[in-house]
Amino acid sequence: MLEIKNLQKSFPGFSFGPVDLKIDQGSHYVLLGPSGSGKSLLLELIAGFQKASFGEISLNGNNLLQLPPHKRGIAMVFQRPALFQHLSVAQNIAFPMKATKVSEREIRKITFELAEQFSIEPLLKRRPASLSGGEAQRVSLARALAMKPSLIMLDEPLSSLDVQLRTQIRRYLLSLNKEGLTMLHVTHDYEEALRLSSHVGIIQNGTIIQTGKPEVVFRNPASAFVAELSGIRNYFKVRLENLPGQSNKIASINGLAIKLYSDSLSSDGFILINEDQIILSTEIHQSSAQNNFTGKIVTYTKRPVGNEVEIDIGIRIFAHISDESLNRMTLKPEMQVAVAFKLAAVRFLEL
Amino acid sequence: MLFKNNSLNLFFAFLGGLFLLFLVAPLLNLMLAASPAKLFETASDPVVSKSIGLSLTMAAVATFFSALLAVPFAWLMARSKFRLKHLVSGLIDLPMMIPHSAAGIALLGVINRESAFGQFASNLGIDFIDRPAGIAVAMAFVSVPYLFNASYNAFSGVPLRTEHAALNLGASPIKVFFRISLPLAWKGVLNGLIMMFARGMSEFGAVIIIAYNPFTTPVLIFDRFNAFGLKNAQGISALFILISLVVFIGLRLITKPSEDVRN
Repeated sequence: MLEIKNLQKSFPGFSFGPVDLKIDQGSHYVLLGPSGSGKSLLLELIAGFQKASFGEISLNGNNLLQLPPHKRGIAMVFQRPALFQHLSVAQNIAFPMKATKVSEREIRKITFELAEQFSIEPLLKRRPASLSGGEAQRVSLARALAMKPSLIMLDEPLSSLDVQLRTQIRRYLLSLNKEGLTMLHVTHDYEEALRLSSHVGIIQNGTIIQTGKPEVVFRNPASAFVAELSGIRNYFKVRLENLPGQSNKIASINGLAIKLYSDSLSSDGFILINEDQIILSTEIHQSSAQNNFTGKIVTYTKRPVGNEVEIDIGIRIFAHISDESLNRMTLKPEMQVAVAFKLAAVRFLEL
Repeated sequence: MLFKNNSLNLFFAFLGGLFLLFLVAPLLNLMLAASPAKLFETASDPVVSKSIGLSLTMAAVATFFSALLAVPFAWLMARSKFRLKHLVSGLIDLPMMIPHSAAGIALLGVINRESAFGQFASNLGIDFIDRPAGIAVAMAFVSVPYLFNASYNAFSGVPLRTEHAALNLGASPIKVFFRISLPLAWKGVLNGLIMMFARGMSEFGAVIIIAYNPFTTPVLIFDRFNAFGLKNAQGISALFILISLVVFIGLRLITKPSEDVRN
């Protein structure tokens, strides 16, 4: 378990912390924040590339701040894979094992096993310069795992990759986490946090302002900053089902069937429903919207522009409506309303 | 694009032609003035061959010992940020900027037999004045900035995150330097070594102040010119230029990396 207490670092013009953080064994903790918020700095402090001004960092009870960076035993994967260009892929993967007492024979065996795990066996003799972005990131992951870390830190590992490669690397991260590897992952990408995290933290100006399970943090943002950063609040983990003879699919949540367009081959993922595209009405109308439900208003909250209305339709969803509409319809809590949205308002994020 | 029929390009090409002529004409004239027979005769002169051997050996010694000091320091400077960094860089460039005879005089003030350092070295059995050790020191003093600057630029080009990654993967700082930073910067460092060697073996101004004797080739050329005139100095000059060319082309070929490791 990684435990951070009162961690602080001061620079001229920027101060980081105090940060308190606990990451349990086996969790995938995603720290979400805009650039310049201090999330990469946190990783550098944990790795020992930066010296903390104050505070404690311990990993499984060992005080990390007393150890030099090369003895901390935490692997790190960088945004752009920091592969050693003068070494082959195999030598890159073997690098962390060379610093230990592992025999040459064992190093070769582990290198090959890791190469198999990440489907990079044909690349072992190649130089990093000849690899594609996705291949390089897989080598980088394999190299990090070769040191058998108890924690792996990921610094925006997907952001330099194109969409297809992101899916591939994301699957590796999910399966590594499933196998029990603890992860601390920083990103500015809300969707990445949504797809991968078991726990999330939101960082702003060097301070973690909210932390918890993603469904709690994203549905109950503690501040306007968190709400804005996390964007869409209507998200649900789903399994898609095909509709016979139709290109549309169905996502079932708590007995509700939400229809959507999706050409994804994967069936596991999240759906996001755009708050701005949800229509509320006091009566059920015939319309072109294929998703029609009825529910009760739970609450509504004033937003910088318009209002956010929370409705219970079997699941809690949020709709964004103008002040004018709110007054005209005299919406209030406990009121029964019809909720409609088109297929195109629903987006599927595959895992 | 250079040879497009564009009047500006043509004008610049004309200026370039004059520039190249300025560089090549004296050397070409010198080489043409020295017949192969004359070159052979000059090479057979034991004083000449001894001076060439001394120049090459001392340049190599100066380069080797300077590398031990300057290359790690270049890495440190490339990785450091401090207020007086520009001042330190300027100090390192200083020997290149000042007249080399003045550099020799400055150096002589420190290593002469009466100075504290000169006496200390003398007690250890090392004498500099009119000795090969003094020649190496003079060569190193004026040519080491070439090695430092090339190494500094090469290390600056190695991404910091690559070194961080190596540390993170369990390599100690010294291993990171020898297994990651130096191999990645090697091409630039090697260029610096070659430039320093070349500059060192050709050094005249600082060397003649510290050691007129034994003769290095540049000092011998000067000595022959003073004693016997232009014709006599031409043969040995041509021979030294020829040897320099062979040495550098050879070094470049031997040390040419199979690929640019940093792409």
